[in-house]
Amino acid sequence: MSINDKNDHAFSATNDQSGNSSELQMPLLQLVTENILNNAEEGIFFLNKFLELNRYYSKSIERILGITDLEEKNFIDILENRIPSQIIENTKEFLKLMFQDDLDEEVIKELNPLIETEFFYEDEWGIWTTSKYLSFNFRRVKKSDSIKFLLTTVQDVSEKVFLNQKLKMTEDRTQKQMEWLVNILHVEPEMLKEFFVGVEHELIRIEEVLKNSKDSKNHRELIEIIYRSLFIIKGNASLLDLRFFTEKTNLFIEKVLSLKNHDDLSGADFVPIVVSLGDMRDTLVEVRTIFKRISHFHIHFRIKRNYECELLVNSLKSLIKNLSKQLDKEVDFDYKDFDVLTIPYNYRQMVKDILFLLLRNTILYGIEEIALRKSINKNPHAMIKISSFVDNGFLGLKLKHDGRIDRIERMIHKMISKKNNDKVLESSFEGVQVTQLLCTPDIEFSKDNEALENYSMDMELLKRKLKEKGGRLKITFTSEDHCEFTILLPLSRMKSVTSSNSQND
Amino acid sequence: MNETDLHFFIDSTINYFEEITGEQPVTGIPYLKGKEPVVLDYSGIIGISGKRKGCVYITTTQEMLKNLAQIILDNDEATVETIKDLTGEIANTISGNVREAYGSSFMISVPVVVEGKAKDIRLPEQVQAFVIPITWKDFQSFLVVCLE
Repeated sequence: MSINDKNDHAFSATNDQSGNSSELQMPLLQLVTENILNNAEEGIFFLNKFLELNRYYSKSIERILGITDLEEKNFIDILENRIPSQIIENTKEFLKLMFQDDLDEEVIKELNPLIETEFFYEDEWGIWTTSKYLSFNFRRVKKSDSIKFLLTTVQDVSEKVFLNQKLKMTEDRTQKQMEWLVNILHVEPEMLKEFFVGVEHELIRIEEVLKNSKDSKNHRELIEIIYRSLFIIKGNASLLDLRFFTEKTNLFIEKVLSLKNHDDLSGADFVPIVVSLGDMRDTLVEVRTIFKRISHFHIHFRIKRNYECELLVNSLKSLIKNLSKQLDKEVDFDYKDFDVLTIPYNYRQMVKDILFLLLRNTILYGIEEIALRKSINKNPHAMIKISSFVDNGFLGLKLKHDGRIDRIERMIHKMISKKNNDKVLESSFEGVQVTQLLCTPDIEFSKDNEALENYSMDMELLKRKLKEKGGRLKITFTSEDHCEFTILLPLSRMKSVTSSNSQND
Repeated sequence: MNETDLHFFIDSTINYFEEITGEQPVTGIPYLKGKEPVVLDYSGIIGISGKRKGCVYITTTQEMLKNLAQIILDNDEATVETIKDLTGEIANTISGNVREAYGSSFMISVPVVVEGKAKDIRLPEQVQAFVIPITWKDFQSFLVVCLE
């Protein structure tokens, strides 16, 4: 073994303990050492007190660190730009202590900062794109009670650390995902799919509007568009009783509404909006992943059509019961002329959405409180009747109620008076236009207009849903008698789809 | 990525322009970066690692950099090298602010300057990237922040 430099001299001296006999064993010792260093899986090297590596190091250390020709390289220089400077400073301190003879090695080792440390590797642009977790272990090599080297072993523990991280992340997410899972299990796969498509559509709309706003000076218009899309998402999530999604959307809506009072909005004010948008997108991806995982269960446990029909009616009943109770109203629900079996499979989600929406708005805005109904000599129990029919290639749905509709009338008058500012005469509004008016939200962001906004938003949502399917909406009402909504959905469009789905029924 | 982080990067960039040129740029409406590239003539990229990982870059036009050179260096005919240096300097200033704010548990790379409209700047996968349009004297640039 040729030992010329200061490091090698000290290194060989540690083996020189048995006089001449050891010299005879040198070639064998060298062979063994070389074999160990060439074949060891662990990284092995020796550090002198100047923190330089000597010539004896294992081949694997070059692979582990991603650096070749390590002889005489300073260990701290190797660490530079690969780990945070704070850890480098701690390492310097630690190694300094490791070379102090009067300090106990086992105690000092407790301070080792290079345990499961993430090392970053640069790509061709000098940007860190990959990383490894490395654990360094340092042991003193002494001669005559004086520390000559630190024998350093390095292990690539990335796999273990990444696995632990993944496990922790999974644990953290499991509870949230379980809640989501429970929350989506009650929804039919087709409905969920449609919901996802709808959310995706609205998120893209928001993304596009933000992206293309470039020189838009009209930030209020921008807020209005975002608000509308979120309202649609919220409406759809509520219809399916996807509470977590409704809550998330509500938080997003709050951020949008918080901008309403700003007179002089700048681009930076939209930061909370874009961050919430990113968050919403992540949620959608995650929920879709859960859905994919459980979809085979959904198919396997798919319920029979009769039961599905029963479920639809029950969910409508449940909505009426809960909402009426909340608002101190009483409603008798008549559904004897509503035949769920006439509704093609692919229309069922749509029909459910429409009825949910109309029922909700009817109870919120049409039906009076019990006390009020009594005071105007009306039956304290309001009536809501739904019916279905098939006529001339259309599936028809009717919802009739005996609530007072003057509130809606007031809304219409209010809308008309707003339009009058634009030189439109009240008398010129006819049936179709009234429907049109009710379905065109005009966000004013004031408490007084909240009911009007929500009503219009819901109606716009309904209108859009109908438009997608080529459907029609007709509203008939008289102030004192009743209000009736008639929906017509073309059956011809659905033929091919329903036949392909009939096997599921 | 939270609102504070994003505000921080925006403020750093805005302050740079304001301090150097005395003219405050206009922050555009931020949006999520999609698949389409956001790359102009020159881009200064900073890598961030440590406790949080990601990448931040500013990409801008040659015209804007020439204009900036005229103000900062009083140089009417800025060479490509000067322009590249200037790109690096903008990125470096942002990087310096980040280093100051995020502390020593973060690693901030030396800025990398990319010349020409590259296909796109590679960003960490599965991390949302935010694009903030910045207009200074009618010149457009984009600040792209991608931080987990």
